[in-house]
Amino acid sequence: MTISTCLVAQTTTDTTVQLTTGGAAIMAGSIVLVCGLCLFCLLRILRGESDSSG
Amino acid sequence: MPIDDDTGIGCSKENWGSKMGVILAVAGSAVGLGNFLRFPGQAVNNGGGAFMIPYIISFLLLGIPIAWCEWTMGRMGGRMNQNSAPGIMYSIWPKAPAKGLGAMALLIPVVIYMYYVMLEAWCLDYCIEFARGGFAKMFASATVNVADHASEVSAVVAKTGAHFSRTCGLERHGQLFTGNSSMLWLMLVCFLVNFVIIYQGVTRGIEKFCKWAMPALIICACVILIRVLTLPNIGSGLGFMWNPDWVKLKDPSVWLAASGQIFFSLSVGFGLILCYASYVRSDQDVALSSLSASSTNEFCEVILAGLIVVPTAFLFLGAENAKGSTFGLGFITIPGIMHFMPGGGFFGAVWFGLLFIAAVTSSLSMLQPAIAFLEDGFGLRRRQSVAILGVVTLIGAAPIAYFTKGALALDHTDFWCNLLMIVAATCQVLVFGWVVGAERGVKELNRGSDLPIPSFVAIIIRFVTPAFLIIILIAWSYQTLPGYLSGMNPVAQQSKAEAAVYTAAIAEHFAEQDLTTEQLDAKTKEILAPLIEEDTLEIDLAKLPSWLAQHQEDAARAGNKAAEDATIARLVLAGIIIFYILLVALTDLACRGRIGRTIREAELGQESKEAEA
Repeated sequence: MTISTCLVAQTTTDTTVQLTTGGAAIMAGSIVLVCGLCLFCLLRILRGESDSSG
Repeated sequence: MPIDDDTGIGCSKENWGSKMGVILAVAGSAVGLGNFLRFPGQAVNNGGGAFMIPYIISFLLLGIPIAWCEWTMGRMGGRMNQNSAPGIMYSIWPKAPAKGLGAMALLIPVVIYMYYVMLEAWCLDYCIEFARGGFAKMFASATVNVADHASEVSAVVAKTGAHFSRTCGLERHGQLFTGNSSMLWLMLVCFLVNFVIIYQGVTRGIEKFCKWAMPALIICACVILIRVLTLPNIGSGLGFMWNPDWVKLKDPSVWLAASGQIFFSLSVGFGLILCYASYVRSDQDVALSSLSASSTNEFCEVILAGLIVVPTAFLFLGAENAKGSTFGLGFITIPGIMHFMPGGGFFGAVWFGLLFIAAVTSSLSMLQPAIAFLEDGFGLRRRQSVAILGVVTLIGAAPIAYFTKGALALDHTDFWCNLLMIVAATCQVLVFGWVVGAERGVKELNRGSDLPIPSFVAIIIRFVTPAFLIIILIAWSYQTLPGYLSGMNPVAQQSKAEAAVYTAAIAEHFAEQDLTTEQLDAKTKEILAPLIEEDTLEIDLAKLPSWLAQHQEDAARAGNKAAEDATIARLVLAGIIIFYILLVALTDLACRGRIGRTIREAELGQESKEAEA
């Protein structure tokens, strides 16, 4: 197997579907929301732990 | 009984070692096959990006409030030295219905475990097959003479479909029990892994395992995600998954699917969190821990599963294969993807390895409630409890592993568990909102909290969440129950299957006459209607015209199969009912005995501490 076939996968020829602005916005919004929530929780946990050790 | 020095009340025998430990254990319990396989299918079939609107609303109004209720009630029960759902419910509400609800919260995880262990074995089998190159060999032989990409896709999907049916025993009942199937051994390995971990206890077993398993799972998924996002033309795959179809928002079934997904994926409302939270110290935070565990679950579901499964399936196998059901997507489409993806053997092994880890962390949470019940309710040692539960789950799993044709027993068990889960969650939220009292409950939730919960949450828990759950329960029952119940009637099913064979034969007989669909329907009705007995629904074979009578054997075979399927459905329901009755009796016995006594002692300890103060 050559390096080029390793890197470039053989995909379907269906290029009729592309990520629209609406799709990208929802995807990005969901990622930001979930990651934001996780980060918020993590920071609160770390703050709580540093408060209790301090 | 050990007494908490600060509060003067009983404390649980065992506690979580750290806050991160309990969060990862609860997240591990929630993160399972439903996240990685069910969510992508639900989203893409219900409006793509638009699905996220009802999904997020359900997360806020349903998922988080129920999780908070369960965490709080679990910690309250733990203070009364109760770690099992029956004990916790009875300590909060010492009335007869609490025993029934507790028994239900005990039944659901144990019964789910009986079939979940089989799915665990499927994941392990696929992981091993990818690691030893079995799939690569299989695909190589299947794609020798294919002309183009489309035919290669068809050949690969057909091959993975056949492999799935064969290895998982979907072709006929008892297939896994034949000598050439390794699946039964893998199930035993899974049993062993789960019970060895659970035997170690909450801190040394579950917590220790989840502390490395959850990060390992997330790292594995991130490795695959990076590979997926660097694939050429991935934008089209992401578009297929995330482009919103706003019209779908007008469809109530989309809202039902979104709330169902949140409910089933967070593993809330049926005793798992109740049990885990009871091992939290009486002054330890539950509000932030609950939110953190739910967020971790969402991270795995929305980001990892949402960006990996469907986009890649679309990219390599096209739209048709990217819209499969949970099992279709998981065990037919994904192995197929790995044939086309560079380094597919490695990524396939990693993917099914992470699914296996996710399944183990979930399985552990299904076993612990019953272990806690045997220990708290009957004073059994851990070794005895583990042995008894091992035997019970093995007995329950055996028929599910035997009746595997079309995953029949698994599907029926899953159906009743899903229904019971919604019922149990509704009852639990009602107990929290109306028996404990939402205001008192939120005050209890805020005890030792690292995240102050606003008082309006009490209104949501008291009114909005139960209403939401009741709507789901009614809509879900309305949508699925009538069809399901009619499918449980062997005579009706037999007659329906026989009629289907004769209908096909009639269509074949009149094929040359070029009849329209309406004409053919009328003809079929004209021939078959007089033959069906109104009372018994049986077809009078003596009256069959001779040209139709030659299909009698095929019809009888189809009829017998349908009747057999309906009988299995009945047996599953009967098994669940008998098990529930048994658990109610055991719960009653334990509540009258050891559980009741422990609760009274804990209350006395609490009163004497208050008097001293």
